Amino acid sequence: MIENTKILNLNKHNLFAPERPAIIKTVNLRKVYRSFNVETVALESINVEIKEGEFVSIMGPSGSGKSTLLNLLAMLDKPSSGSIAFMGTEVSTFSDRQMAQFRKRFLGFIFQNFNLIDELTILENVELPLQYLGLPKAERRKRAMEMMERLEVAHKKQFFPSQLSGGQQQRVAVARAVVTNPYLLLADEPTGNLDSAHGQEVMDILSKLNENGTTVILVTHSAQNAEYSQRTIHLFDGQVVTENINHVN
Amino acid sequence: MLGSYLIITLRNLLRHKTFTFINTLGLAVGIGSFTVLMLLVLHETTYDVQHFNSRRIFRVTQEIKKNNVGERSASLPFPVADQLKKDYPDLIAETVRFFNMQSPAIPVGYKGEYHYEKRFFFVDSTFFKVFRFYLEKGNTKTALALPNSLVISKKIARKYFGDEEPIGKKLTIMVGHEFTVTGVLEESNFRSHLEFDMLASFHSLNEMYKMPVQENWIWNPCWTYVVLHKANMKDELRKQLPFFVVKYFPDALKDFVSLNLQAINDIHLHSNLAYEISINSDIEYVHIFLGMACFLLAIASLNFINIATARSSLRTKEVLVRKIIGANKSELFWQFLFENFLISLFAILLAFVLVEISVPFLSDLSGNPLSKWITNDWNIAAWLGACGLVIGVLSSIYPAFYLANFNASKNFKSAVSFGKSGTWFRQGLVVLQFMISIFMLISTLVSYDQLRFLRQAKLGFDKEQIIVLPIAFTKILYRYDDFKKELLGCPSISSITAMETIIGREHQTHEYAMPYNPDEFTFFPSILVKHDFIKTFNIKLLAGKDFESIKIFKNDGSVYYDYPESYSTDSLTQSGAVIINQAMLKHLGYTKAQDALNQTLISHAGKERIIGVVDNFHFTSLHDTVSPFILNLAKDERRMRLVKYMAVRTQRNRTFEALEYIARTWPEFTAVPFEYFFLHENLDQLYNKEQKLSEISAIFAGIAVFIATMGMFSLTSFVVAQRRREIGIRKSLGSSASALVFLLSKDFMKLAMLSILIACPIAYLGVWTWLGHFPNHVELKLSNFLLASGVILGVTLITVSLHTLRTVLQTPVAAINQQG
Ligand SMILES: Nc1ncnc2c1ncn2[C@@H]1O[C@H](COP(=O)(O)OP(=O)(O)OP(=O)(O)O)[C@@H](O)[C@H]1O
Ligand SMILES: [Mg+2]
Repeated sequence: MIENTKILNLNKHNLFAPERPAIIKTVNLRKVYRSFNVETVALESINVEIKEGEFVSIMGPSGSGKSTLLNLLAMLDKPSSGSIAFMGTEVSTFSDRQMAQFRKRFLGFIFQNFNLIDELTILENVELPLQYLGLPKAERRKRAMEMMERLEVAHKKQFFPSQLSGGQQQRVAVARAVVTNPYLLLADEPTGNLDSAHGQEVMDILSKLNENGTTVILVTHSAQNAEYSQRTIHLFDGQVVTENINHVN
Repeated sequence: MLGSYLIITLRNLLRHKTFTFINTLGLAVGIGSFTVLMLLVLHETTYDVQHFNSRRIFRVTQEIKKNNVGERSASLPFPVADQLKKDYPDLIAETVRFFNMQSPAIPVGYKGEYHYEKRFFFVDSTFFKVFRFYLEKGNTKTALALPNSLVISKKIARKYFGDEEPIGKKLTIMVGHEFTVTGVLEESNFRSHLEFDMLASFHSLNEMYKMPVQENWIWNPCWTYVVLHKANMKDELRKQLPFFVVKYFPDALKDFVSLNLQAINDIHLHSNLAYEISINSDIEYVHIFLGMACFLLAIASLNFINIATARSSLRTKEVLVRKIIGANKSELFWQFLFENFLISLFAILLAFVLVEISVPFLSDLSGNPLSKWITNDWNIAAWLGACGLVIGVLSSIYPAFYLANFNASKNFKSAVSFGKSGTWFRQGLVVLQFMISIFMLISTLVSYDQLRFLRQAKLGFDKEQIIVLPIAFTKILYRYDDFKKELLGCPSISSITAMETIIGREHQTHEYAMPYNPDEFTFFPSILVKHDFIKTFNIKLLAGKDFESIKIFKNDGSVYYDYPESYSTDSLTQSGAVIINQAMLKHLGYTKAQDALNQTLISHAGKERIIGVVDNFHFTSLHDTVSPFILNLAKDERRMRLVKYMAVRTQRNRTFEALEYIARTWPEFTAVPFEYFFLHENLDQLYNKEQKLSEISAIFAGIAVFIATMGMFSLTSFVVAQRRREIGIRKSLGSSASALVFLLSKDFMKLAMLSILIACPIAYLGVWTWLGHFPNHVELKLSNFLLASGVILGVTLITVSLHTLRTVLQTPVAAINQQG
């Protein structure tokens, strides 16, 4: 059961303690895609460590494996080899049920291609993670609407995803990921389709979450966005090439 | 062009292996079942069509009805045939009579060794002129011309003579009459209601019967067929028959007798008279088979359409791309059609393999195997093949048309919405499939219920622990009392009686008159029986007593049985005794059983005193209602000759000892070999048709459920493929696997529930109508409906969970990215 792991001991108030514990740590992570007997090595020997409360950005050219790495860190996919430890616990030992518990309680994820559910309205999409958390309907509504107002998509709440522009969909995806005020937020180019004003708003939200203790991992092409983070990991051809510490704001 | 279609098609079919497999198998099983059922229908509906003049051949039947009792008989008095031909030569070309001594089996001996032969008839020499049967040896023109001639089947020839030449051999019939074999029948594949192994010349009867039976217009044991000059003369002859009756039938009868004509082709399916020459089938069953055939074909086509549609909507993207790069509409349409055509072709081939495999195991309702010639008939193969192709193509027109036609000018999102609008259609198909399955399941369960009811119903007499010994034409008839006395010496035997026909199965009709009107005879269902009848069969006496025998112990310790003549009030020798049932009591106008005691009826043998009244019991099968019935003591020797069976009640679990004892005693009394059967087994055979029906509907209900399950399986897999991305996303948001399975099964369970809600009332009406044909039937039980519904819900749940679990247990990214 999830309750017996260290996850429950996560404490947002020890963020500023001198020793920040690692929230995620990978050892020799490797991911190979196999299709039609062609092997694509998407990631090779990835050793990264992300500390609690950190804001880390991942950069690299298209196809370098950023999305792949993010999926692995969010435990949405399984590595071909190597290990991922979450708060010191090997992730592969999680049962399916623990995984579900973990995802809904601690994780927020923004997909590069939004992945909204076509059959649900915008509001329902944003409400969904809260529903899985078992929140009462009124509470869900309130929190979802607040977040949607911040991202300026509240007026579209009864629309279906296919009726929104790419940028609007992206903002809905962000709203859905952050509405639970997750402990760990993983965002795959959350501003890719946005104009600078809306992009700015999304980045502000991420920063604010981070200030309130959320660990943020951001994949981005924009050096400007990477500025928000404390550290940048550069990927090239599936491998980590450099890690640089940004100035802390 | 065709080549490129073929390559694309094969690649496509291989890419969706599961769909292709399910689609082919479903259609194959459907067409196969349809074929088998249609063979059955064909088999049942082609009885007696082979005769040269089958449309001109009619059977004459007789109805006697007086005061609401009487009989509808398939057989007639001896002289009717000749007299008809003599009186109406312009209408009737030929007549044939069949006669079997009114005995289901006749002892036949060769060199002193006897066997009972069941399919033995005396026939007129015109037999081979009228019916299309051939002789392998002998001459059809002369074989039955002379007295004491005998035509036998190959089977009988082998049985009695082995490899020896049968022609000219002599067989002893009914102990003491020598017959010469004059012909051997050619084996026939034709189906006829006439089933026989031995045919003896009718002229022989002149010598065998000393009494002038040929002039008797009352006794009606002859199945009589007439061939008209033209088929349309039927109405003319029918018009003449009432005059014929008045002219020739005795005064006592003529007002109550009517003759009728029955086309020979109608006998097997439409005739249900007393004394049918063989067990007939029933048109109702043919309709049921036709219904089942249509159901299975429908289910298979629905399945096919369903899968084809699902498959094509998985390919909307491909189609759009093809269109954008310039494929034209009709080309796409033909490609999809071709694909489904190919599947149908595979399915038909597979179906024929299935039919070939299963046919040897099949038999019709009367238990006859499905004839080989049917399955070897290429016309039928071609016809069914064409049927299958038409279904395959028709079923694929909708999906092909829809797919080829949707609008490429819209963006890709319309591809998704096509999938959605198709959903209603597919769900409708699944509901239909399930409805048919539920209907068939319920019918099967009810038919088994009814069968069990028929077999286990309280008959009013005890059919267990009864051994029946055929004793017709044996010397035992003349030494019955001695034989009985001998058998009662066995401690395992508790009681013995004898009877004219098998109780619970059939009866005779005898004439009785009321004492106040001694000249007016009425035909009543009745049988001649011997002493201890009520005791042996454990029938409930309402008043009076059994035909009792009294056990007298002699001084030397041996037992002696006496049959008190105390039944007779007046003349000791002239009077007999009867026991009547309650329906008869009512018919006579008594309310209290006691009041009927010691009243007399008049039979041709003289006065018959009512010595007992019994509760109604089912003296024929449960297909009939209980009518007035008379048990008449066979006292004198003339009547004793009509007795055909002995019934021996044994002690519980002592049957074997009893049989051994009887077998040991038997040869001391007669040369005819000892044969026996158990009454309860014999009576169970009354419901062979119901059993066959139950078995057949069980098989095909199973197949229907199987096909519907496959339809469900493919629909699930389609829906899961369509919702895979959604499943992945929901999972990434923290949904648990069980919640996802529930989410997906919910919709399917709704479909199953909907089909149950619609199918149950329809099934109720269906089985209620069917049961209505039985005067005695089970009550409809809720449990049958629940069970059928449970099966469908269970099958749905299992199919859906198996399918969804596979996707649900994938990682979210795998689910989202995988292309269906
Ligand atoms: N499902 C898959 N099957 C096969 N190969 C894949 C799959 N997903 C990703 N890849 C391959 O893995 C490599 C890394 O892909 P990934 O999506 O992680 O790149 P990325 O850095 O996110 O690129 P972008 O900036 O374009 O989003 C690529 O070469 C890609 O072709
Ligand atoms: Mg990416």
